[in-house]
Amino acid sequence: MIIRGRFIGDAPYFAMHLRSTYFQGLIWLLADTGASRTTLLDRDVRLVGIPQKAMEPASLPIVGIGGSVRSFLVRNVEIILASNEGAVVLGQDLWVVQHDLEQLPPDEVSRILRLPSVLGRDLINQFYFTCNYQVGIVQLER
Amino acid sequence: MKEQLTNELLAFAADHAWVNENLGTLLEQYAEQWIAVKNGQVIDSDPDLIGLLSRLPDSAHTCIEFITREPLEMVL
Repeated sequence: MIIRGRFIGDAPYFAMHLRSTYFQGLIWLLADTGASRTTLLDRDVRLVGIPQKAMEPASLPIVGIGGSVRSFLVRNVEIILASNEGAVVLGQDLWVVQHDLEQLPPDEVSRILRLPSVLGRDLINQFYFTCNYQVGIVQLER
Repeated sequence: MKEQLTNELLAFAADHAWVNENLGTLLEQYAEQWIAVKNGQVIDSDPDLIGLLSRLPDSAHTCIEFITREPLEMVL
């Protein structure tokens, strides 16, 4: 079973469908083996419409590069990916990171909203991950 | 249901790729704007993301990207 991603420029991306009690929608994520957890960022929180009541404050701190952020957990999210054998369904908690956009200048807000959510090792490591830019192949397999 | 979701995911990914492949053309018309894309067509645009989302009937199932000439180096 192979889930194919795409290179956008030189960066590997995957599409997934999220579904929980409170929201559902499509997310476009950057595959990031440097990220321990799959994490939704500001733009996708807005696009998918994740309500505040779905997010519980995270007990573990998140360390990243730049800016002050608030971190949350969304429990029991159904994650669906498209494979060559049909839909692959996974279930787990997801992290959400939100910047305090109201305290930032418009240019900075614009840049932060351009940041993609990240597909981290918690999901990537459930698969055999291939990322070969030279031949244009990025995929998850098992 | 699952087949429909699979098709929707593939179309969503294709729309993101389409934006990247047509960035030069899109820059001529939509520079510094958010665009919404469905099936390889821009269906709406707005400099303000919230403004765009307020008009879209289904933002949770639409490819939305910011079109800009400003490079963004991401070290995540």
